[in-house]
Amino acid sequence: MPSMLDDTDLDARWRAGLEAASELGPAATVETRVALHIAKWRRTRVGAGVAALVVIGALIVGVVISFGGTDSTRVRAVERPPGTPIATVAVVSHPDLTLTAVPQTVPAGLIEIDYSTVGGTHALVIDTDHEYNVISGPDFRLTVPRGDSNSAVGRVYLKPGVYRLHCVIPGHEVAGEQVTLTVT
Amino acid sequence: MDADPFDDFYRDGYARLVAAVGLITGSRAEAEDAVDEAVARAWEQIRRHRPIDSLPAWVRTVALNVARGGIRHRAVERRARQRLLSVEDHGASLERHAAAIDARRALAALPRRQREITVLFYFCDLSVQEIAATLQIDPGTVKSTLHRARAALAQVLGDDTTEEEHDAIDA
Repeated sequence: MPSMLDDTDLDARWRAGLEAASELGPAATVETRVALHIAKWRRTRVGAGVAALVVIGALIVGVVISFGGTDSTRVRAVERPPGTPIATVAVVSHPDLTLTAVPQTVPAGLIEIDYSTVGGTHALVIDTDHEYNVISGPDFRLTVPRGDSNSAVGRVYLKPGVYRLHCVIPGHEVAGEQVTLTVT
Repeated sequence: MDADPFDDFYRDGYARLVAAVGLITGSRAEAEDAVDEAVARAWEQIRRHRPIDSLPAWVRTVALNVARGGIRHRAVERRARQRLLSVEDHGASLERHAAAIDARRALAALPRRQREITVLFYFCDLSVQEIAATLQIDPGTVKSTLHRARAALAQVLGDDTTEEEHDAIDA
């Protein structure tokens, strides 16, 4: 007489089904993206005004992504301060409000951003090329105070994709303080 | 900190936990965010000199709490069920794809708690005691919930399960 534990066929089918199901899933909805974005911005305590602007931006981008038929996958980068970096990118803010990154191509994984400036106050953030998944947080929103030479080091986990590094000090990005980082 | 427990976690447990939470929430992207949020909180704990006995267990508990959605849990759960029932082709073989859809359909039919327990038991291979610790509930509750979940799964998956087997599970 079979007992509950004898029903190994059901267990085996179920385990195999879960393995297969774990590889499957729908794309994130615009609603999800926006909700996550709000949560992330709230955590950075940037302020309600900025958060509201970003949400509007995220909505617009989300709608464009949903209906525009772009081939962008959900390229995301996630704050994960701990771990051992597999590559270091030297990022420099220059007095003429330009930004350089060496190297500009790195493998996916935990990346260390070695950020330095040669004058002025700057705050470096990273976002993706396709959507408003701003990479920001205590360890990779790198802010350096005014001075002749300052530096800060932060770590960020980056998946394959194209990211944009830029300064969030008003006017700096528009002036050209941005650079592209390709993660393979 | 000498040895970095986060390195060990990323190497040994991260992907599996994301996959498990993805089975519960129906969304891998949301699962990644829940686990990442849990890791960030763990990092804050350690930075504030509050030791964590077992990082994987701590992160697992917090990630499930985050994924549950707090006060928004009803809406979160509704979306989870919708996502579990709407899947996209990922290029797997037809047989594997069918198995995946069956499993997701079965998961969607389970109440949240049953889904969590069944995924932790069958997918994460946790013991009843470990599941009880993860969800901070009584081991007896885990056993009874698992039993109910199994009976429900047999109903959903059990096209070739006999009535006798149903009786045995329900016994």
